[in-house]
Amino acid sequence: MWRNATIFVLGLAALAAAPRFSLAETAQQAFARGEDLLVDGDFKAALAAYADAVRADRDNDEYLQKFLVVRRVINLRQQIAAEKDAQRWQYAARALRSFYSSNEIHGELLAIDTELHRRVGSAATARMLADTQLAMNRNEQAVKTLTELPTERATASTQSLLAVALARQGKRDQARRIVAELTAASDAGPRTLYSVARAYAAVGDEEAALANLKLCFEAVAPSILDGFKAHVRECAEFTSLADTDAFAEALKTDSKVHESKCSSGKSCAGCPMRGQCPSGKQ
Amino acid sequence: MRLVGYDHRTVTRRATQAAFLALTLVGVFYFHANCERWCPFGGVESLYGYLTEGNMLCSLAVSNFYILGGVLVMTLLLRRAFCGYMCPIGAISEWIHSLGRTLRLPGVPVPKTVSAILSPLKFVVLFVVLYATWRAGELVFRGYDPCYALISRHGEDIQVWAYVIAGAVAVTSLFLTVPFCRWFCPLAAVFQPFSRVGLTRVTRDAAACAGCGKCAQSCPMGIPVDRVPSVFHAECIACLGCVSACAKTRKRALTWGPSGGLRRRLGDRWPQAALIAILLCCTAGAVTASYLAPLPSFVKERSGQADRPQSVRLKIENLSCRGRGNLLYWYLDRDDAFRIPGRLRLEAWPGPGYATIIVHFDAAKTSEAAIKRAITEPYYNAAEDRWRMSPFRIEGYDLLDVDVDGGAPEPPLGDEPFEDPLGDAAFER
Repeated sequence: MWRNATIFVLGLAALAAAPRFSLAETAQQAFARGEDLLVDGDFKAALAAYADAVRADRDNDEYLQKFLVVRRVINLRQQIAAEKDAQRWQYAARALRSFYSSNEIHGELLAIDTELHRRVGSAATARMLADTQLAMNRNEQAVKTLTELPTERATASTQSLLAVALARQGKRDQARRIVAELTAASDAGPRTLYSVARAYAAVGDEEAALANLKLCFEAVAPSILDGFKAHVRECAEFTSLADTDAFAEALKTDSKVHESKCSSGKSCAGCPMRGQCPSGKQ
Repeated sequence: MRLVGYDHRTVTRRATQAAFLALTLVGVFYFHANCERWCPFGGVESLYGYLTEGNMLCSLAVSNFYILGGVLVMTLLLRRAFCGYMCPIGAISEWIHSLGRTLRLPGVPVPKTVSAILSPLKFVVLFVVLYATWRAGELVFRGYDPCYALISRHGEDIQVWAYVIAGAVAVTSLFLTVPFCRWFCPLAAVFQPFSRVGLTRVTRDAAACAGCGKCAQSCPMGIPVDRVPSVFHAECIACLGCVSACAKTRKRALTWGPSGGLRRRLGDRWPQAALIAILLCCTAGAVTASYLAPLPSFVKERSGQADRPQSVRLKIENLSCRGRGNLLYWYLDRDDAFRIPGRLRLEAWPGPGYATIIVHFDAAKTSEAAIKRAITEPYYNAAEDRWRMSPFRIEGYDLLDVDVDGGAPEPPLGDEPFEDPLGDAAFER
């Protein structure tokens, strides 16, 4: 009798656990399906897949956040097509670009960067477009984009990417000449520092590349640093350095940016921005 | 059951201490209640911030003010009875000292001059804590507070020093009577002026007094009870140990009751039950007041006239503290398509789990649905060039309900002039 009771109880427990286990698996599958559809550029189908993932696992914040942001992206894509105001169009374009970039949707990224550069034509938009072209190995296009930029508007970032593009085309001497003239401002931000690091790596100056890479990591916000380091590991310019101890050491660099934990922290307790909160802006 | 060596007053006081400590522990470990918002010293620390900004510090609440008020009224009436009957640190310190006596550890007598020199230290501690807290706008010493280490179940900002201090208090309590309470407690410094007034006190009948000194020996605060006509000292914790010690000699020269002119009207000899009743009334009154008049702990607003003023009450998850309150307001005040135009006032009661907010808005310009979307929709931060996800969830609000097609689409980017103050600059860095 006791044996039968034990089997019965264990069976009930297995039944209770089974739906949850199978639902969790379904949620994972739905989310993975959404990721694949997103990279392919099918946003609405991706949104539906993310919605399935959320319904299957309501406690998973990652699924919900992805659903929410993709829904906003779809709306922005619809609105940007009809937007007449230049400033608002730019804002929407940059918002979309940020999403495409972080999700590596290169096709959409190239389209928006091309249009952004056509409309604005600044050093920043040239840099963004060239960066995307390099990511898609369209090196000639990247060189064209950057050389079309008037000299007086060239920046350390654009010159660095030009050096990278030329180095990829085998024109290392030309690239070295550009790198030799590089001067990044003392308050250069992480994007500039990363571009400069890539340029040095492209021409073979590993020491300078890693020095700039460390400065870059220190300037990146802690909440996105791990993701950025993962991206750096995949960067073509750092492939030759990937197995070196110096590169591994550089990857250990911590951020020096004080960032509020309000989006991810439980309370002010461990937040490095404690005492500065009354300003309200995060 | 008769506890050897203890009289009924001591037993009653110990039982009261145990009851309050048990209440605290059950609240902390069983109900996972936010006991921090019932700490009277939290009310002291938040005073400046609340008066200047209208917001409580960190995860404190207006209930800290209510309990502070209740305890101050208690102190006005009963002197430092809070220390003698309610404070968990005082209780544990006394019990450890009793343990030391039981283990026959040598008690260390503290000369009166030494005690007099150490006594002002609590004012130094109070000044340092308040100055640092008010300047930083945060509870900067919270991580070092052993009491907070207990009630927060080792909260995320607890430093090892909190346990070092707890250990030091415990060890010194074995040999000294309530050392922290006598010389270092900042709340005792706050009590001082109120306790000085003290509408009740221990009075000595000089005619009946035998001069044995047992009352002074039994006083944990080192008050020379045998040499004063009445105990008007601010340090008196109303433990009535002196009254009990005198009662044992059968002289009964000491009584506890109202002081001055009140004695003729209200009698000069009150039982300990009256003390505990007053204590409980003050506490219950403070707690009741905090529920009857629940003032928001966080208020932030954008001024302006509302054509059709309206408000909505919501329950928000992840609104745990003032910082999160600021972040919630930031989402309401966002500068994208979901900006809430017109009059806006946020009243919040941050806390664990689902916290209550009330949003006052102009119904002629926006709606409850728009407010919910502003709180929960991701935000593209142009300055940082990244999407920020809202950590807030609204009880009963299903984020999947808002469809892309045919539902409640994203509002247009707006007709107001759009200013992008950073332009390329942030984008280039």
